[in-house]
Amino acid sequence: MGLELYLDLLSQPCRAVYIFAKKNRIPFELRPVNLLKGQHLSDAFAQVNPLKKVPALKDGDFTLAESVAILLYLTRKYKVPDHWYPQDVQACARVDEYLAWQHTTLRRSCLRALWHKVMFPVFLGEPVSPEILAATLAELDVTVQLLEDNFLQNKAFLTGPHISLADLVAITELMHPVGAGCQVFEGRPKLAAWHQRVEAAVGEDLFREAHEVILKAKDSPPADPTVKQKLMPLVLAMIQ
Amino acid sequence: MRGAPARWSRNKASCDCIKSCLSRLLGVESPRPLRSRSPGVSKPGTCQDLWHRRPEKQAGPTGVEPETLYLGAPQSCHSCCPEPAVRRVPAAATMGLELYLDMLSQPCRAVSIFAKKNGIPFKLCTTEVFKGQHPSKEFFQINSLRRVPTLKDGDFILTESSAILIYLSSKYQTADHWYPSDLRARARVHEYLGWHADCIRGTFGVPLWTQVMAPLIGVHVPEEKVQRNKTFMDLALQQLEEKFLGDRAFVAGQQVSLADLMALEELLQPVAVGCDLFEGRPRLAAWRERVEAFLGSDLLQETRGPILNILEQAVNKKVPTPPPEVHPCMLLRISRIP
Repeated sequence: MGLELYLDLLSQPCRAVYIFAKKNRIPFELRPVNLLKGQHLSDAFAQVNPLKKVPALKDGDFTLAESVAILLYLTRKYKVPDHWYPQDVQACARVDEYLAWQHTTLRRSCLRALWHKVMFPVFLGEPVSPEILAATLAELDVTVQLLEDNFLQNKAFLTGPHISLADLVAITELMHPVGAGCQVFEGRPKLAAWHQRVEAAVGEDLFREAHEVILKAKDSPPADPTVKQKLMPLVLAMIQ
Repeated sequence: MRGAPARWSRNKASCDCIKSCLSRLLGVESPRPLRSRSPGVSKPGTCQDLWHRRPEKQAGPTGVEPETLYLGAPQSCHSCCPEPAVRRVPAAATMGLELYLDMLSQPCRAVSIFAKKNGIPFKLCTTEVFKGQHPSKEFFQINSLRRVPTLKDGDFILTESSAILIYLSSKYQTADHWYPSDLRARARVHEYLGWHADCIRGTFGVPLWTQVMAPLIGVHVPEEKVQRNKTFMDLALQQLEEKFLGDRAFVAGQQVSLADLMALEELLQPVAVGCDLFEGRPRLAAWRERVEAFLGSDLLQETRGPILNILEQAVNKKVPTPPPEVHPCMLLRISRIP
C-alpha cells in the first residue's frame, strides 16, 4: 500500500497538503474523512491518527499527523523543487518562522471567522452574538494586516521571490473566511495581487478544485442531532 | 456562548489601542516599524531604558555571561543611577549572535538552554517588558512588536522559537538527535511542534497569568476560567503522555530533541506557580527527570531562576508593577483566556 492522505477539503491544512501533493505530482491515495459527519471520531480513523484530526498521512506502516509535519515530510521524501522549502539556512528559517507564527494567529482567526460567521448558525444551528462576531472579524482584520505588513511587505511571495510552503499554508487559511463571505482581499491590493500570483503558481484548476468544498460552506445542511452532540464540545475546544 | 469582552467598543481610540496591542500580541518582527507606532517606548536615556539597566546578579556557570549591551554614547541622565549601569562590550562582539530573551517566557528558556547546552556563543539581551523594563529604541527597531525570543545574527533577524531552534541547530551543526536528519525521526519532531503550537502553547502559560500577572494590574480571572484551563491542561498532558511519549524515552523518539526542550519549559511554567502537573503522572515525571538529567541541573537552575522565584516575589510584593503602557496588552492577553 502506497502513500495515503486522509483529508477533508473543508479543512484549511488539508487543502494545503492536497494542493502540495497534486502540484508536485506525488502519487497518493485520497482517503476522504468527512468532518461534518464526524468520521474523524471513528475508531478506524483513530488507528491512523489517535489525535482524531485531519490531515493525516499513512506511508506503509508510518503514520503522521500535523499538516506542517506532513508537508515537510513530503517535501523531503519526494525531493520537490527547492523553492518550496529552501536548503539555504536563512531562507528556510523564514519559512519556518511563518509556519510557526501562523498556528496561533492567522489559523486561529480564519477558523473562528468561518465558525462564528457561518458554521455555528448554519450547520450547528447555534446563533452567535453580534458582539462575538464583531470581535472575531476585528481580530481577523488585524491578523491579515499583520500578514501583509510583516511577511508579504513588498515581496512577490511571503518569504521571498518564489512561492514556498508559507504561501500555500497562508492562502488556504485565507480561503476559510472567503468561504464564509468575508472580503479579506478587498482594500488590500498588495495582498490581492499576491493571491493571484499564488493561484497562478499553483495552477488555477487545482486551486479551484481544492477550494470547491469551502466555497460551498454556506450551503452546508444542518447537522444531524447526534452528530451535533458529538461535535459541539470539540468545536468549542477547537476555536478557543 | 460567552460574551465578548466589553472593551470591544466602537471608540476609535480604544479600537486603535486594542489593534496595536493585538498586533504586538500576534505579531512578528519587521525590518521597519509598523505604520502605527505602539505606545510605551521609553525615551532613550531614561532609567528604564534597557541599555542603561543596572545589571542584575546572574550566574553564568557555562561561561556565557549575560551582558547588558552598550551601543553608542551613553546618555548622561542617570541622576538616580550613580554608578555606570552599563558594561562596555568590545565592538567586535556586537557583530555576533544576539538573542533577545525574557526568562519568564517558556520559549525563551528553551532557546537559551539549547544555545548554552550546545556551546553556541551568543550575547544575551535580556528583555523584561512586564517588569517595567522597556526595550530600548534599538530593540524596537529590530523588533517593532517586541516579541521574544528574537534572534539577530548580523543583519538576519528571526522570531519564533521553533524557527530559531532549527536555525541554530543547522547553522551550528549541533548533534543530530536535537533535530534528526532521518526523514521519519525529523517528521516526529515537527509533528510534536505542530501539536504543541495548538495545544500546549497558550494553555500552560495561563496559571502564571491568573496567579501573578493579572493580579499585578488588579485583574481577577474568574474561577470558571481557571478550572477550564486545568481541564485543557489535563487533556493536553494525557495526549502528551499517550500519543507523543508512549513507550518512548523522549517525546519524538529515543533521544532528546527540540521537542522535549519546548515541551519541558512549557510544562515548567505552571509548576513554577504551584501546579504540580507531574503528580500522579509517573511516566511524565520520569521523562522530565531524563530530560533534566541530560540538560544538567546547573544550566537549568541558572535559566529558570526568574520563573522559579516569581511566585515568592509576587507574594512578598516584590514584583514591580508593570508600567501603564503595557496594561492594554496584558488586558488583551488576559481576555483571551478561554
